[in-house]
Amino acid sequence: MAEPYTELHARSALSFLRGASRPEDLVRQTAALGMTALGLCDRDGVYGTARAQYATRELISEFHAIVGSELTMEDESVVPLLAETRLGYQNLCRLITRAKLRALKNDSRVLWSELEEGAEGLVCLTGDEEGPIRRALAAREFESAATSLARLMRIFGRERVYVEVQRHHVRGEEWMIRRLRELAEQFRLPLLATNGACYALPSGRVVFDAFTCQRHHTHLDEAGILLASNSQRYLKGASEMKGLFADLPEAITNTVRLRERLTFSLRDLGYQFPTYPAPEGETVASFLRIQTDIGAKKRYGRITSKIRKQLDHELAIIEKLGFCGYFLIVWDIVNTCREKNVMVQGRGSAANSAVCYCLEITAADAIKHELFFERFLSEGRHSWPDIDLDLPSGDRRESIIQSVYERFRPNGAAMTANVITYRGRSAMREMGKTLNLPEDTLKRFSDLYGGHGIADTGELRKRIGLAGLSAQHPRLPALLSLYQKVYGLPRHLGQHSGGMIISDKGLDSVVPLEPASMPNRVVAQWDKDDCEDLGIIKVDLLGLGMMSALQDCFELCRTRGNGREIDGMAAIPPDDPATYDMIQKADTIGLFQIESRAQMATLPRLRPRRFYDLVVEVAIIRPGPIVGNMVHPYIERRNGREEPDYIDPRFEPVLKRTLGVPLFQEQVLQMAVTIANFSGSEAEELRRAISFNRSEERMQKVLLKLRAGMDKNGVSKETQGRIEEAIHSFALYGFPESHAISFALLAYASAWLKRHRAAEFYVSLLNNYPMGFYSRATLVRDAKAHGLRVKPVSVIDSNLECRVEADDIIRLGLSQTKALSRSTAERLVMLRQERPWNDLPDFLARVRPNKKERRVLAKIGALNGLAEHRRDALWKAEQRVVQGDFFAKVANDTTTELPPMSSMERLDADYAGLGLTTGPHPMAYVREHCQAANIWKASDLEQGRDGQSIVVAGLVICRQRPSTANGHLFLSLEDETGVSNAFVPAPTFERYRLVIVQEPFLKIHGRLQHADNVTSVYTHHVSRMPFKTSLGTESHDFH
Amino acid sequence: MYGVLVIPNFFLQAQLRIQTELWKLPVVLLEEASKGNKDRGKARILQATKAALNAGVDLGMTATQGQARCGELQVLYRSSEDEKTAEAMLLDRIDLWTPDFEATAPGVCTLDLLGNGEARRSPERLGKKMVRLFAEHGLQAQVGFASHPGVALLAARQAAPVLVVGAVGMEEVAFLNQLPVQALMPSADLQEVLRLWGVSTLGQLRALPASELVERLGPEVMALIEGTQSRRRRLLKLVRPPSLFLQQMEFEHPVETLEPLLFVIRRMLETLAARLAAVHLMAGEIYLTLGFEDETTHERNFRVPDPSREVDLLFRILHTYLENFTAETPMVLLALEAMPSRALAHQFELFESSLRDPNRFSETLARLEALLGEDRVGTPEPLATHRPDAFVMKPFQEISRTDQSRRRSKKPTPLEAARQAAADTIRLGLPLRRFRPPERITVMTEKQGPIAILSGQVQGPVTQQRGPWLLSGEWWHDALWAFKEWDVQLEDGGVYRIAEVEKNQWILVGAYG
Repeated sequence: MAEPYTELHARSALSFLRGASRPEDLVRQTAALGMTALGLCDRDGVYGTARAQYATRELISEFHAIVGSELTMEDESVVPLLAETRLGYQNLCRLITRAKLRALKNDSRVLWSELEEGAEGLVCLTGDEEGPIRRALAAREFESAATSLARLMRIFGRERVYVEVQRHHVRGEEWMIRRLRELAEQFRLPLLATNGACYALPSGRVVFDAFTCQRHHTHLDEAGILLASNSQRYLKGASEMKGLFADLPEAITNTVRLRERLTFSLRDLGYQFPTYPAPEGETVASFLRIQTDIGAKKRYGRITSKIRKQLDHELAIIEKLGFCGYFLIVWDIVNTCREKNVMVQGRGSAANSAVCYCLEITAADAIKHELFFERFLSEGRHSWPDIDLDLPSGDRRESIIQSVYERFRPNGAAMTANVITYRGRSAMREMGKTLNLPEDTLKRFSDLYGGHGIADTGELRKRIGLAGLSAQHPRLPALLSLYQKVYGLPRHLGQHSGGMIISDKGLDSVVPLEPASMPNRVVAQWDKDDCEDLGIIKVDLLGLGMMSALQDCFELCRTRGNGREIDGMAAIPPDDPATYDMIQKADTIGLFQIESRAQMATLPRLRPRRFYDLVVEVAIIRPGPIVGNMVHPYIERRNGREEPDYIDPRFEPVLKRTLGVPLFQEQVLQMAVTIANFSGSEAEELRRAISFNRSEERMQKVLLKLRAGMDKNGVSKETQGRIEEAIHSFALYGFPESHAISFALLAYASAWLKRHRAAEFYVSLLNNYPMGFYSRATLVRDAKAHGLRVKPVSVIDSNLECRVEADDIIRLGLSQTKALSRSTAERLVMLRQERPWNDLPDFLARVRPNKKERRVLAKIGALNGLAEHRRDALWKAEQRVVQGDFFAKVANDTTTELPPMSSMERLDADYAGLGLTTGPHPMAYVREHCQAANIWKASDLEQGRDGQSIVVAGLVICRQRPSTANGHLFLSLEDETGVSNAFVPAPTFERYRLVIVQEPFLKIHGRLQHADNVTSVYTHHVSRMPFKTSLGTESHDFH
Repeated sequence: MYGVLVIPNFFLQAQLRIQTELWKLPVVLLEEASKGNKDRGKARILQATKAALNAGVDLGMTATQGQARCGELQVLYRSSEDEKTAEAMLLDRIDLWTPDFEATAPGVCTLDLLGNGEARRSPERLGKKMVRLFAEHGLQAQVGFASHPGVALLAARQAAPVLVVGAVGMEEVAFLNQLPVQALMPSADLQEVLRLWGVSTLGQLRALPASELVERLGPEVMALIEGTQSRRRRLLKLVRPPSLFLQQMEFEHPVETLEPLLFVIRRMLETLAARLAAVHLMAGEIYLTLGFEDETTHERNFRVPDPSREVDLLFRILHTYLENFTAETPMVLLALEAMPSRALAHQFELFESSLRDPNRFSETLARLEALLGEDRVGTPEPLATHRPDAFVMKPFQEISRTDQSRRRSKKPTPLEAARQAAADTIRLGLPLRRFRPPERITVMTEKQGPIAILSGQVQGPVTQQRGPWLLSGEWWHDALWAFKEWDVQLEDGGVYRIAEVEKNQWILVGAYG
C-alpha cells in the first residue's frame, strides 16, 4: 500500500467524554483524507471498534479498522495497545474485562503484572501526555521514564514497542520530542508519529472542551487549563503529518510499516456459538431432528406430508448453516422456563419457523399461517437468526437471565450494551450546565420540552427564549452550536433490556465485559447491532408486563376453580364471538397492544372478526402506516370503498391476504424475490435495510439493486415507482408477520380473559402495574364499567396484592397504597392470619405502623372497619404509642366530634393515598356545573352530529404526539362515563402547549367528528377545567 | 394596647415597591431553590400578586405550572438587597408612633402603644394613618390592634386593612374562634393533621378536648392555642436604632474646589472619631459618597488596614485620594460613614510579619492607585488559562487570605492539580521579558512563517524562526481569542516572541534574554 501515513492513535466519542466524534465519522473523515486505515484506541475498551468496522464494511470498501485500546494502568498512566493478531485481541479483551469486573464503574485499572501475562499479539505505543514515559519526562523524572520504557520493552519485546511522538503546536513539545528521541536511540526503538486524534474535524474541539468540563464536573468558566489549548487534535492527513514531522520522516514511515503488521480485524473475531451437548450416539443435528419430531407429534397429532416437507426443508437449512446447536440451546432455555413455571413465548422472525413451533419456542403455527420461513433463515444469510423470547417481566424474567449466566459461567454470557446518547433534554441540560447557565432556566426548558426532538435551531431558539434565556444572551450562540453538535453523541453505556450474548469458549475473549449497574449482571461493550454486525449470536429475553399479568391471571383462575380454570394460552377458545364483539367496540383498555388511542380509533373501522384480523390490527398501527388522520388503504379496501390493487399481477399470491397492501416485512421480501429475482442474500440485505434501525444509505443501496432487477424483468418505470412507494409508505415501519402473530396471540388472550374472566384479569393487571397505557385509576374505572365492584383497601380484608372476592368483586391490595412500606404490609397480613384485630388499638399495637402509614391508612378508609369513619380513624390513629412499651394500650372508647369527610374530601384523600378512587369519578362531582356550562359527557359524544360544535371536559389520561404525526397531538380525556378522544392540530397545540402539558383537567372546545364508528373531537381551543382539589393524577404522556 | 403592622407578601412587596407598575400584572416570586438536593432548580412560587392568583396561579406551583395557567406571568426571584432596604425603611418609619417596637419577622412589626393616646382613642384611625403612610412608600400594609401582641398579629393578618380586636372593636373570643388555623402558622405536619381532621378554624380546634389533643399532637398544639390567649403575655424584643457612624451634608452652594471639602471632611471625621471612641471602637473602613449637580454620585470605600480612630490618619487617607480626584460638575453632597471595627488583634504565622505601619502602606497604595488607576495596583496573579499573560491584580489583603484558604483545603480540585503540575514543570531556556502592553508591529510573512519585522521598536529580517505555537480559547463567548506565536531571531542576534492575533495583525510579545 503506497499510503504514506496511517493514524494509529484515535479516540472516538465512545471513549465517553474523552473523544468528540462518532467512530463512523472518524472513519469517514479518514477515508476523505485518502487513507484506508485507522487505529481506534478507545479508553479502557473497544467500544467504538465494532462501529468503525461496520462503517468500513457497509460504506467504504477496503478499509481497515485497526483495533486498539488505551488501558489505564494501576499507576494511572495510560498505555495504548494495538491488536496485531487474534490472540492479541483476545488478550486485550481479557485484560479489560479483568480490570473492569473488579472495579467500580469507570474506574478500571490494569495491573502491570497482568499486562505481562497478556502481552502476546499486542503492539504497545508509549502514549500521549498521559502515557507513562511522557508523564515521567514532564515531571523531569528521567530515570523513571527510562525505567518505564525498559519495562514496556521487557513486557512486549523490542519489536512491539513504539515511542510515540505528537506535535500539536504547543510550546514545550519540541523539548519533549528531543527527550523521546534520545530515549528511542538509547533503547534502539522506533519512533512513531500519531496525532492522538480526539475528533474528526477541528470544529470538534468545542465538544471536546465541553466533555472535559463534564468529566471534571465543572463548567467552562472554571475549567481553565483543563481545557485544550488549541484545536489540533483532529484527524490529519498524510501531507499535513509529513509536513509536521519533516525532521523525523521515519516516524511517519513507521506508521505504514506498523499498519502492515496489524493484520487483525474484527472480521476474524473467532466467535463460536456454544455447542449443545448432544446425548451419546447422537449428533446435534440428529438430536434436533428427534426433538422436532417429538414436538411435531405433540403439536399436530398426525404429521401430514405437508408438515413433514416443511420440517425437512427447515431442518436441512438449519443443518446446512450449522445452527442446530443454537436451536437446541434456545429450546433448552425454553425448557428451563417451563421447569421454573415461567411463561414463555417466542416472537420475532423465529415464529416463521415450524421447527420453532414444534420445539415449543413459539406459539404461532407457521404452517397454518403459511409464514415465510426464509424471512427467518435463508442460505444467503450470514448473521444469526433472531429468536426473541418474551417472558413475564420482573423477578420471573430475572430468574431466567440468572440461569443463563449460571449456565455459561464464568464470563460466558453478557447483556448487550445500550449506548445512551445525548438527546434533546439531556443535551440541553448538560450543555447548559457546561456553559454555566442558570439552573432554573435549564429546568424550565426541560419542562417545556415535552420529551421529543427539536429539529431546527429556530424552534430551539424560541423554546430557550420561553425558558427565560434572552435572545441576546452572549452564550446563546455557543449553546445552540454545542446542542447541535452534541446531539446524538454517546453519553454513557447502559444495558439492553433483554439482549444476551453467549459463548462457551469465554465471551471475554470476544468482547470486553464490564459490570452493569444492576447487581449480578455483566454487560458487553457492544450494542446489539454491533453484535449482529459481527456475527455474535444474541438471545433476547424480553420482559412483558402482560405476560406476567397473563400468568398471574391463569394461576388465579386455577386457584379459584369452579369452572373458571384456564390452563394457559393454548386452552383459550379460539374465535370467540363475544371477545371479538368487545374488540370491535374498541372496548380494549388494559388489553395487550390494542389499547392505545390509535388502535382504538382503528378497531371500529377494521372490525376484527377472526384471528388474522387481529394480526393485521397489530401491524397496521405503526408510526408509518397511519400518519395523522389518514385512513389506511387496507381499511378502505376491507370496507369495500376501494378495490384491492396488487400493483403487479405477480404480487397477487403475496399480497392477497392483505388486500394488496404490503404490511409485513415478509411480503416485501417476497415481492423483491418475485419481481427482481432477489437472491437469499439480497433479500437479507433488504431485510436489514427495512428492519428497525433504518438507514437511508443502506436503503438506497438496496433500492438500486431492486431497480436493476426490475429493469431486467421488464417492469415498467411507473410500476417500479409504485412498488418503491409502497415499500416506503408501509413496509418500512412494518413488523415481521410472525411477530405480529405472536403479539396478536397475546392480544387475543388478554381480550378473552377480560371478556370472560374479568375479575381475575383486572386483578392481575393491577398487581402487575406499571404496564400498558393507562393509569390504575383508569383501569379501576374500566373495571367498574364492566360491572365489577371494586372494594377499597381495608386492613381487615385486603391482602398484600389485589384479589378476587367473587366473580364480580375485586378487593384492592395493600400494595396499592402509597407510603405503606412493603414490610409493614407483610407484617400486617402475617399478624392478621394469627388472629383478627380486636379493634383499632389492637391493630396499631400489633402492627405498629409508623406515623405516615397510620395516617395514610386512616385517610384512605383502610381502617374503616375498626372505626366509625375516616376522620374517626384519623383521630384514633394519631394517638401516640410509645415504642417498645408492650403494655401501652391505646384507648378505644374516646369518641370524637370530628365530622365525617365530605365526598370531595374522600376523593382527595383517595388520590393522595392511593392514586385512584373506588368511589365516583372526579368528574362526577362537577357534573352539575358541567351540565350548566353545556359540557358534554364522553358517552354522549356518539349521539352528537358530525361537525357539531361541542365542549368536552375531563381528566387527561393520555397525551400522545407521535414523531410522525407532524406535531399534532392526540389527547384522551376521561370522565365518569368513559373516554373522549380529541385531536389537537399542531398550531393549536403550540398555542396551548403549557396548558395542555401542565393541567390535569382540561376543557376542549371543538368540532365533533364521526367516521367509521370512530368519534373524536377536532380541537379549536383548550382551557383549564377548574377543579377544587389538586388531585395527584397520573397520565401516560409522550411515549 | 398593642398594634401589629404586617406587610403581606413582604418579599414580593419589597421588590414591587420599586417597580410599582407590576402591581396590577400577574407577577410571582419564587423561593430560593434549595441547592444540593435533587429538587435543585425546581423552585416553587412563594408569593404572588392578586392578578396572578386570579389567573389561577397557586402558591407552591413551579414557575412552569404557573405559566401554564397564565401566559403573561412574570417571574421574580427573591432579592435580599431589596428586602433589607424595605425592612430598614419599615423600621425607620415605625418610631413615628412609638419608640418601643419589635421587628417580629420580615415585614412584621409589633408596636407597644401603651403611651400612644391616639391608639387608645381611635385605633382604627391610627391604623388607617399607618396604612396611608406606608402606601406613600410603596408598601401595602395591614394593621391589627389588640390587648395582646399575639392577637394583634392575628388581627393584622386578617385585617383589610385595619382590624381592632377587643375594647372598642370586634370581640376577641369571636374573632379568635372564626380564625383559620393557618393564620396561627402551625408546622406543616400539624397543618396536615388538622386538614385531615377537617379542623379549619381555631374555634373548632379549641372545641376538641385539650388533653387528648396534646396526647395526639404534642405540646405544639397547646402552644399554638395558648399563644392566642391574653393571659400569656410576652415581652417584646425591642429594636433600638443602631449607633450610626454616618455624617452627611448637602451643600447650599455647590463646591468646586478641594479646600472647603477637606474642611468639612475633617470636621465630620472628628465627630465620627468621637462617636467611635464613646463605644470603644475603631474605624475599619470608611465609605465616601460624593453627590454632583448632574445627580450622579461617586462612591468609594477605603480599608483601614490597622483599624484606627485617629483623625489625622483617616484624614490623610481621604486627602490622598481626593487630591487626584476630578469631577465634571460641582459637588452638592458629601457623606462619610465609618464601619466600626475592633482594634486589630492578629496572630501571625511563623514566617509572616506585620507591616511596620500598615496604614502608611495603605496610604502609599492609595497614592499609587490615584496615580495609576485602581486596577493597576496590587499583586498580579496568573489566571489558570492558556491565554498568554492572563492575570488579575489582586489587592494584597485578598491574596494573603486566598493563600491561607488554599493551604487549608486538603484535596486539590482537578484544576488546581493541573495548575500545580504546570507550575512544577520548570521551563528551561531563555527568560522572556514581556512588553506590557504589547506593541503592534508589521510582519512580512511567507508560507513557512515570518521573514521580517517591518515596524516597531525592533525591526529587521528574520534569520531564524520557530513555531507556530497555536493557542485559542473562550470560544463560548465574545471574548474568544486566538494566538499564533512565533519565536524569531533578527539579524542583530536578538530573539523575540511575536504573535499573530488576527489575520495580519501582529504584536511584539516580548524579548528573550
